[in-house]
Amino acid sequence: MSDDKELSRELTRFVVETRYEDLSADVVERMKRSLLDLVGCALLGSIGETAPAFARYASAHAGRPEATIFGSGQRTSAVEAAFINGAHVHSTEMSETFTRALAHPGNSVIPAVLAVAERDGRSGRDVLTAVAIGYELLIRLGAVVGPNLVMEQGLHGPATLGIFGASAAAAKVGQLEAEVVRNAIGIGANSAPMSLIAMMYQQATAKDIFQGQAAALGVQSADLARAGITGPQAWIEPWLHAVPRTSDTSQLLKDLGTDWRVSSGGLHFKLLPVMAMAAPTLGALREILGEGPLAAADVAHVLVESSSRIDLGRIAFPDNMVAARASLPFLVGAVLSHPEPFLADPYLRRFLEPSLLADEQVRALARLVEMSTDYEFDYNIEKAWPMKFEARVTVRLANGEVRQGYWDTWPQTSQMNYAQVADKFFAITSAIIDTEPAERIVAEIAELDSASSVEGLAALLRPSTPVTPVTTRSAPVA
Amino acid sequence: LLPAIFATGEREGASGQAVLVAACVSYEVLIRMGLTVGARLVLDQGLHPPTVLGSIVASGASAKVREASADVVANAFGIGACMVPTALMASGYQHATVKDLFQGMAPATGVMAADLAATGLTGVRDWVTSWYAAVPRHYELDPLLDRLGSYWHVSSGGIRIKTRPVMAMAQPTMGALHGLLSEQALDWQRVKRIRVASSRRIELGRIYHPDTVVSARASIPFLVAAALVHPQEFVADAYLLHFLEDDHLTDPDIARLQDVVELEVDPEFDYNLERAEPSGDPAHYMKFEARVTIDLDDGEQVVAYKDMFAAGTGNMSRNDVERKFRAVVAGLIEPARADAIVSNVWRLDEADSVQPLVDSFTGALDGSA
Repeated sequence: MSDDKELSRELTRFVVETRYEDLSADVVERMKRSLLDLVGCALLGSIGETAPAFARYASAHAGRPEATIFGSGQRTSAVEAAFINGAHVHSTEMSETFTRALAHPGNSVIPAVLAVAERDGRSGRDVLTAVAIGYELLIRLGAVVGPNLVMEQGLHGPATLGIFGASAAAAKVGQLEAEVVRNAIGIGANSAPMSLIAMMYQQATAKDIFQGQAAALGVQSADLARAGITGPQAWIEPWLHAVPRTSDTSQLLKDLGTDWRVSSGGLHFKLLPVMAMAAPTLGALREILGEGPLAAADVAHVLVESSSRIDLGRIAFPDNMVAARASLPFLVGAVLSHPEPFLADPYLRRFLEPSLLADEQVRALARLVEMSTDYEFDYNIEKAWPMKFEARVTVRLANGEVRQGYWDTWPQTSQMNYAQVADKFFAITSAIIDTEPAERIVAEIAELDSASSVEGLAALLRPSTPVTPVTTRSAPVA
Repeated sequence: LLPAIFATGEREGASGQAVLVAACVSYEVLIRMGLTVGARLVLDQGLHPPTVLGSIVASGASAKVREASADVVANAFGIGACMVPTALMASGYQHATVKDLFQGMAPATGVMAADLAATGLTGVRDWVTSWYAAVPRHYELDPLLDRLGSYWHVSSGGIRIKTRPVMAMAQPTMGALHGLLSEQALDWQRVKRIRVASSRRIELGRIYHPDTVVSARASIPFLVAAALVHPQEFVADAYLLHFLEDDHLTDPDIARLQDVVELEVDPEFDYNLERAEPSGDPAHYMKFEARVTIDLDDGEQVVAYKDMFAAGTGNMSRNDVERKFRAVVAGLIEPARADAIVSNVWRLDEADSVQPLVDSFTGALDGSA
């Protein structure tokens, strides 16, 4: 029979007692891939649409130089570095995810861990251990609250949960005593932002701060615990009572520490800078366009079928690029209007330009898009294993012809090896850092388990000539 | 709200009037939001309303005091509504000192949200609908806009100034005991049973044997026992500035006596606190009450009652507030500095800048006050 503190106690014990030696080779390997992916996304975000606003914020709030803002020459306090790097990662919509758990663990965990590790001089093994623990915690908590947290309640799961992983991982990499680790997570539970998914529906650009805030508060929670502030011993129980309207903790502790969710194959990498739910739709469109040309003017109707999470993409006419990345009708319209640039750009680095926002043909096609839930797809993403992450797109032409494409994103993105993640890294950072330092970053992370500190990696992430953020885009910024 | 307003006002060189306007407007919004969610946010859901609601409103307040455009103010609210910390009442029950950070989190969140809005980032436009749908499980939106701008809750008498450094719900209990122990001696060793009746919010004070002063301030059983075991110290210390010492946490007599303290809800008290209007029908005027019933070993029963509103904390004069201020800062700052602060606050509406007031907190005194 469990007591009212059992969940918190066991989760805290997992954080405190897990050592590098307890991680399997597979966990270590996967965490290296995750680190490389997240660092690449942070660099990409440093030149994104909202980066100028964050640069202004960082400049106005520059703290003691403790940790690096990736892609800039700037070092600031660990809290601010975690905030800016996390926001940059989130802004790309391209970082790895554990879709079933509605978690982007790396977005909050990795910026927090790297900031503290750089400040406190921790080793590569310390980093890998803390990252693995933070990921595992977040994935398990994401499964506890499930999609209802976002779909029914309107909270942004990764941002709302992110601080649990970030505070645990920041405390772990800070090598705090067991009691202090517990306090850090407890303080984190009290600081966890209740982030509204309406940010996305209402096209607010501050959505990009979500997981930066979780990362920063994670570092802050660990720092406050280190200063002597105490947190509640039972932290997850009152949080589950206060915030989510539904939860299922039956699997939360199952095989904790022995069967790692991070090794389950549930993590998958994103190859496109769009909301996760849009990826299979764009894959299906690629299939359709691969069969032969399709004239935009001939399109009479487009039906997009996917899981019930498709509702997250129900933004018809985005007015900025932050919202555009989450708008299925817009993305479908853009692809059908401009098929060749889309097909030629595998990571959509150039395709998603602000000019598309005012493109009349894109808007006209977006109006033709109907979105629908396929309940088999819904089962396959929420319940089945191996899971599928699917969409089917049916394009009906004015002459009655029907073209149909189907895509399951899962097989391609859930089992990428380090070389494949590195390929993505090189592609998305090519405009930001030169080839030689990019290769060194890839090598540095590959050998992280033998690094005595992360300073070498941090130095590579501070280019001597930072790339200027894209201020000319349509911007959310004044 | 005020730490957010002062911090932003100092940085931005705001005038005294700008500070006062931001304070009045944000107080009004915060009070109205509090009325929309009521006590269930804390009692049923376990969230700390002053922090949860304060974070949102501090965002608007910080934007207001810098006299930002309407768009930026709206964006600050919309960003702040997405940054609200999950301040858990359980932290208080579990004696965690993080509780003291709660209302530091709120102004910090507010200033950050306003700063982010000032960089050009946009927030949720319809933050009211979205936030209420996602966070509180029970709410009634009518108080939010009811006579907004014509009827000011800040002038209703509903704001009450605390005179003791204990959780609000413990105030009427301590007031009742203060009245009782001021008038008669009572041997705590003869006490068999103590019943404390108040509104349903009394549950917030159901903490036995606190191990930190942070949780002691919220523990009604501890506070009652401490007052009865040390009545002279308690009565002599009007603002309880010296009474709540660490020693009391380990005092075996206080530990023993708090075990006989029972907390109960009086439905009439609950109605008077939650429903009666602060400035409405005098027959149903808002009350903030507690009744302490003490059973002694010879069968005698002693009863003490206090309504903190009737005691004047809802309508304290400048002199009353000034007296409290001077008492609580005595020994912390020199009298001249206290004089300067008081003077600068009373003349805030005439000040071109909030800086002289801020300087009177920490800087050199220029003798102008």
